[in-house]
Amino acid sequence: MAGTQQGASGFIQKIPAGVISFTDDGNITYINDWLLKLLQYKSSDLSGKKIEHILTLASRIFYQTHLFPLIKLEKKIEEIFLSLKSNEAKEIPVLVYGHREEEEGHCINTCVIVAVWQRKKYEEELLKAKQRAEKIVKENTELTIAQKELESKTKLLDKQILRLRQINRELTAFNKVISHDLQEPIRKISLFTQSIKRAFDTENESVNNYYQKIDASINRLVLLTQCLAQFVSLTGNTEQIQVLSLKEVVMESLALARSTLAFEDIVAEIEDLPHLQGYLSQIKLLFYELIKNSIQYRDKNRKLRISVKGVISQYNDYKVHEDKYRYVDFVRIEYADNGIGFSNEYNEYVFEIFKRLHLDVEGLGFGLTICKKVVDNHFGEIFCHSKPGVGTTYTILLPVNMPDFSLDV
Amino acid sequence: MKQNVLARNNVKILGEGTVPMIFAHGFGCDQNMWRYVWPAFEKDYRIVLFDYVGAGKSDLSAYNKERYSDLNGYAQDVLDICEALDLRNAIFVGHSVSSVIGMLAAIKGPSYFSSLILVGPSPRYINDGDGYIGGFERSDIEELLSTMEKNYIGWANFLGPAIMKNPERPELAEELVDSFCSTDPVIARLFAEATFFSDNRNDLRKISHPTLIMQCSEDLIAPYEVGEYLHKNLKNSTLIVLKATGHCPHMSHPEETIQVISEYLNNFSFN
Repeated sequence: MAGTQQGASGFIQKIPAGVISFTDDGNITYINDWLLKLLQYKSSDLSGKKIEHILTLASRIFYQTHLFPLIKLEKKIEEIFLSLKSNEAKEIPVLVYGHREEEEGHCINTCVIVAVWQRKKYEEELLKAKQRAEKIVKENTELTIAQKELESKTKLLDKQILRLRQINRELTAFNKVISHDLQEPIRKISLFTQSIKRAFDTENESVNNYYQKIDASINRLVLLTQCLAQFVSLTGNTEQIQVLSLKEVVMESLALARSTLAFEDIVAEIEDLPHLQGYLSQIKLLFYELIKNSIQYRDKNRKLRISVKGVISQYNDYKVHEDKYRYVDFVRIEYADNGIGFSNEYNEYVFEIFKRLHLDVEGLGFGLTICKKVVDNHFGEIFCHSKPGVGTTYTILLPVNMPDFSLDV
Repeated sequence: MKQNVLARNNVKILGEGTVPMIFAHGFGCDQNMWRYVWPAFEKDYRIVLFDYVGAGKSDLSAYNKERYSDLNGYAQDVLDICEALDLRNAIFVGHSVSSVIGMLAAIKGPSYFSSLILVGPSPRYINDGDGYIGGFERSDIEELLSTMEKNYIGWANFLGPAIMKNPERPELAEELVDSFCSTDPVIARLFAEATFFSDNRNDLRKISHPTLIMQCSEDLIAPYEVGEYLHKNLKNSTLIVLKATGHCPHMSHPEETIQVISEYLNNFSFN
């Protein structure tokens, strides 16, 4: 029996293939003569060495990412291509077959290795030919597809530009109607109501009550048309894009909100914020409206705190084409307050025009609509997360580089 | 959307706890890589396992070359899963390139995560002229890509590169999915390129989450200098050097991996 084993072991030393065993740590526990000769090592050279010692750098990565996970989980590997590195740093292309034995917590991985000098050359030629063929086919098909796509996209784009121009013209006309034509009848109603009131001066309480209601409605109408005019003017924007220091803009908005709303009692934590391209007046308006909102919907039982943070991260630049991806730099801004907050089911509702949640607080429900409009104008995104009694956090994504975009195409 | 994402990324939810613990696999394999580790945490955590699109048993039809040529595309997979499961304050455990993917996800959706556990992380694999040591030269990575290509030659020749969208022969896709750890050669190559050619050193300072850097001994893919660099640049980090050697401690030394993660989590109070 011992003789047989001796024989078998001698046989393994001499068979024209490499045999190597190693532990999960990669420590070589056995290597046969044939492999030693192939690698130009003496047996003593490799004792206590790791398997990585006989691999090229690329094959070491492949060993860590593919070969080891595979043999550990599947208990065997077949036909794996690797490059060994000889004592004289010569590269040896080999194929590896292996299996794993686990006994009472003792694991050993054993591999058979054959050199594939000829096969490697043959494969390399095959690969080169395949890559050449694939490249040509790919370029051809891609070119044809791209041409067709370009053709149909150009047609579509032409129609879209036409439609946009039309909408833009309508908006301009609409804006004129709101800011001039509509103001005139409102002014007249107001004027003649005053005249009637003077002509028919009365003590009658219910009539005076009606007068008051008419006045209140006129005031509201004036405010609403002003808002609408502002909203429309944000669409037909003619401002130049410039590089903005976001922190400076936010500070200016804060100062403006403090003075116009005569509310100084804010603790503001504004971190260093990145620079970005955008429309200065609009970005200023965005933060003014957010701060105004925080002031209006503050929790009267505690001091108002707001914080603004911003980091640059990469987001997909494509918003309409679902299968198109191009990751570019965006500023991800987190604006948070400790206001009265709202339930998260209203996360989208709050950005709609003239939609309001807290009817007991004075306001029109227009501030966040402006914010959304400004963000849209910058091809960005805004969303919010709120908790009643805790506060609201707005997350705003604005591209670092803005395309020069005008509707007057 | 929710069901789509869960099926798309082959998401598995296990465990008896409430605090979510997401295990993200690295390049070259799939969620199976974690099978020696996650069971140790199933009593106390809600375990989330998944495969990135293109790996394991994910939905290959959802693979998009443009998206997955960028690690941000992989980070979006993580964020999609967090959103679909409505996760908050999850512990993210990422191996190798998933460490960077997890950091990108944490920058985009900070509230999804409470802490990041990074196993063999590296923000950049290629040495830089500015003195940064990543461990590799560009030519090493190109040789790796060619080694990978040669390991696919057996079937790549007759399957061709456009396998994942081959409706006439669905059995091909199936065969791919069943052979463990092997992916479509095109997908594997793009993942390797996205991984090994990436440079995320600038993202490190944007992370404020507590992070555990698990640095292996003698790890050639993420050498010790890289672990030290990360520790220096991640403001809230702990660096632990494992006895485990190589790049896959969760497979070669699961006990030590489990112990280090447990100790880190025990020193932490999560709510």
